[in-house]
Amino acid sequence: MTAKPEATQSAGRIEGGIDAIVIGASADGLAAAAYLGKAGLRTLLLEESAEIGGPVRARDIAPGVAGVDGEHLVRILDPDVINELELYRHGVNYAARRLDSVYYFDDGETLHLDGDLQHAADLMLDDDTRDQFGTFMREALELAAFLRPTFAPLRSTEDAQSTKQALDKSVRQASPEISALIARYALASIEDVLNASFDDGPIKTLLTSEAAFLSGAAPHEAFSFMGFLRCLAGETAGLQGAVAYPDGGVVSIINSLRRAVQAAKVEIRAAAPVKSILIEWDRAAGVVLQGGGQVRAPIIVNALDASRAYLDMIGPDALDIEFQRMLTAPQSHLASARLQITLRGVAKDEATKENLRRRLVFSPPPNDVRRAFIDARAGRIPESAIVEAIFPGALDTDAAVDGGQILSIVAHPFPFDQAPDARRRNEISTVILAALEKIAPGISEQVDVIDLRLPCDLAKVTGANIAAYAAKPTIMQQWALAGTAVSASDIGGVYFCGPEAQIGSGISCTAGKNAAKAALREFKKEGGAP
Amino acid sequence: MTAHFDFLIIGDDEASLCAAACAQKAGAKVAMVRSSKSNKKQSARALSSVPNFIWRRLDLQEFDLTLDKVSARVTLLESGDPVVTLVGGRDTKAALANAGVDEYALWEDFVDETAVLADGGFINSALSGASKDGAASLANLLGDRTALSRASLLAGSCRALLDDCFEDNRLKDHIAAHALAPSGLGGAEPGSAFALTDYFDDDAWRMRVAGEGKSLYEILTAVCERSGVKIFTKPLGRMSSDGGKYKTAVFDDDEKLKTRVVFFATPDAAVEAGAGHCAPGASIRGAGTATAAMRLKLSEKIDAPAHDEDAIFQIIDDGDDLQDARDAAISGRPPERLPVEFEIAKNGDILARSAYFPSVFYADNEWRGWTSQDRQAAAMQIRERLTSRLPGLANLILKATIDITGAVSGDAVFPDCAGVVVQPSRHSAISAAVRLIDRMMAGDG
Repeated sequence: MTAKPEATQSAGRIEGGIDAIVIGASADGLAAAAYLGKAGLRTLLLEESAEIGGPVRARDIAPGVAGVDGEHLVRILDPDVINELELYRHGVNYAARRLDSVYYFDDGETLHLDGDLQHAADLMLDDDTRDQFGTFMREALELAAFLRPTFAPLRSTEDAQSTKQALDKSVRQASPEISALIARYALASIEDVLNASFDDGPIKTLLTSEAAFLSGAAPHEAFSFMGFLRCLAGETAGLQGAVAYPDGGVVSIINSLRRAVQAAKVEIRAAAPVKSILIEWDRAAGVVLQGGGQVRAPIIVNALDASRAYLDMIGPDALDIEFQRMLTAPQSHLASARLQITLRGVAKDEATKENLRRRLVFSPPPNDVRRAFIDARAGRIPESAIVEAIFPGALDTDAAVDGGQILSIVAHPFPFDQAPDARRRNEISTVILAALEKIAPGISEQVDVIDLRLPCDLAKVTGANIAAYAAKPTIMQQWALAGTAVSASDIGGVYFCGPEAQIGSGISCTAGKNAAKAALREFKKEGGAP
Repeated sequence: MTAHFDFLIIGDDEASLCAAACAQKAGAKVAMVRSSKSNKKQSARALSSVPNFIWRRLDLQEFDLTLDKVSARVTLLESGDPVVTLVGGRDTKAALANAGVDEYALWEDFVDETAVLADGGFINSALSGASKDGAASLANLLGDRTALSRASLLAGSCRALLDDCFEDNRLKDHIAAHALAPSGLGGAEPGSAFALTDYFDDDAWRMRVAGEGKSLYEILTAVCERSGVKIFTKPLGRMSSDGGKYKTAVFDDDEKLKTRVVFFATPDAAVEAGAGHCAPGASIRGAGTATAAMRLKLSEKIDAPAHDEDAIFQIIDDGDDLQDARDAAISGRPPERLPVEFEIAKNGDILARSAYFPSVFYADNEWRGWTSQDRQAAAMQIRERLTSRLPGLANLILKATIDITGAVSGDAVFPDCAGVVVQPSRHSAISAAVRLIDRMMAGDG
């Protein structure tokens, strides 16, 4: 749905009477706006494009066939945000609360894993695998839960101190095993950890794929394992480490956030690009719009990428040199690819229908995964990739297509390209289709429309710096970048919840929540009305 | 009655010997297993420094031992003059200026900056095995923005850190080659920045035994024996653990011993013993590659590049060779442009080495171990690289031998990693090994 467009005759106009401005209607921007509005602040949400949602938006991938750009599953959506913004009341409904996964291997074997990872091991047939996998999963989930507070971005030194205190407290209660595991896993590579825990076999292969999926570090490289723990720290629909599919696709999360924003009496103004942030006496005073007008407000929450939020809208003069270095340094040379395919025909047999309601993963052999990362980092299209596929139409009747199917895919790793040409895009699609053949032999014959989305395509739509959509660097680097990004400006009243503020990939909204809460604390301290 | 020990140290190098002697002298019961296949005089090659505290603890002054610092680090790129850096900052500036490196003035700042980074709290302590306080030190790290930003730099790539400091590619390639080549690392991977800072550690500058006396290896062996370290020179058959405090080591001839901790002073030693999987965090310091060490006997002494026969020389065409070579090696192929490190021994032999060989080969869709053809090919490749930089060398070679370490041998002797400690490869190998075993004795690890 398109929000109210900005009146174009705003040049020279100065608007007042507003407490807070949120720049950018991404999931985090929407969440921040909803929190501020709910707390009684007169809030204005400015979005530069005609639509809200950041990279996550509905789009027709073929005539009359709606697809969803950006994400296709929910893993780490903040449960506090769901509760506090009452997102269930505003329309979030999980079509599948915890998707089972089916792994397809290079040799044609498959393995079905229960969506509840804590119980998945119990269902395994052979004793050794059950023990190895059970022990590993218990440890990993326990450690991930322990680390959960560290995956929320911090606003200030005060916040850092309180996280440290919270951690210190749990450290005192934690078992020595947990503490030893942290030192061990913080530096470890995926291969280190898996080699120490498993014999070669399907479990090791599928865990390599899961841990390396969306990662900016290759499975043999230091620090790569922590990314997996971050993923397991997520809690979806009350279940740690689960993967969920919302009714209507991930865009329905955006829609429910928008309803929460509207219920909080926040004005959403689309097609209203911001040129710069107005600063008076070292404090935010409002924003200058591209059209020339000004909107004045003492609180600015910026949900755009850090490069635009800081370098373009505040300017390098007001920024710390070290922070500018972080912003301009290339963090990753890897990216994921999003592919949506329409298929002619629908599966008729029950066994296949059952699998259509699961998450299907092609797990290449660990050595191929390693090689794929090496190739992708060197700018070559890898020979194989990790592929995650779902059938939205089977999970959700609204997404069904007459006489056909949509297949929604995320594949990793590929090179991070600024402007790939048609041939390169074609090569990427070919690698993904080859992996799909392992999942469903003969599927290529049924392919009708192929719709590939790479970081540059997302950036074109949202106007963001392409780098914001590259694979995230190691957790150690994400910690540092997020910590610095949220507290980078010494300018009072400016809060940041762009993609760099988030640790891990996927829709989370924690950054938006934290930015809004920090703004509210400050607002109350300054004697604000509510 | 089976003998009980606190530490079983497996390895055949100076770092293992130092750690064994220091632990035994500090009151631990130490057993050592050395490889039975060779009794090589290792110390012909330059080693990491033996810091003063170890010198004092082992009473090394009682021996006729003098260690000289290696005079310089030299890189022989594909073209142009050699790039040279020296121990002293001022000398290095002059050498760089002579070589036409414009940024010579930045050198001292760079060394100071990396020294601050190398102090690197969390990563350093996690690497040195201080695992008991892992959660607490992570809490400290996250509560301290400066420490976190340093850790993030260390978690990044060597290339990014160097790009930040210098413009001159020749200088960057030189630093990267000396920092990364000893462990077979690439410059673009996460964590390679750590190797760079480690390389500026005071104990990282390498030393050689001066004069004709005994090698450091022989002296340390004598110190170990005198202090009561029990040394075994026979192959270890298997390792088992009954869940108690002790693990049982069984030799091929069925002799047994029990130990609390199995200690490896280098990841290569762990790989050779079949415990490579027990070294999490080793990836930060290079793992998954094998090292080829070659000795070339010459009919006459060769003219040293940069007129300095006491230097350590690196051969690379340019800085990208390092990552390319690492990528190839861990994919199971020998690299195309092999980085090679060499030095000239007192007797004129050339000692060359490269840590960029695969520990297992991948060909025709299969993994396989080293064969004698692979050894020959590796020797040829190293020779070619040397002759490309040392004109006339080909005609002087009388005899060449090659030794491979870090190759995966197959059987995993270690079923699980409880009680197994592996020191990641460090530039300051000797001091790092002793510090780690000290920490364990203090009950830290």
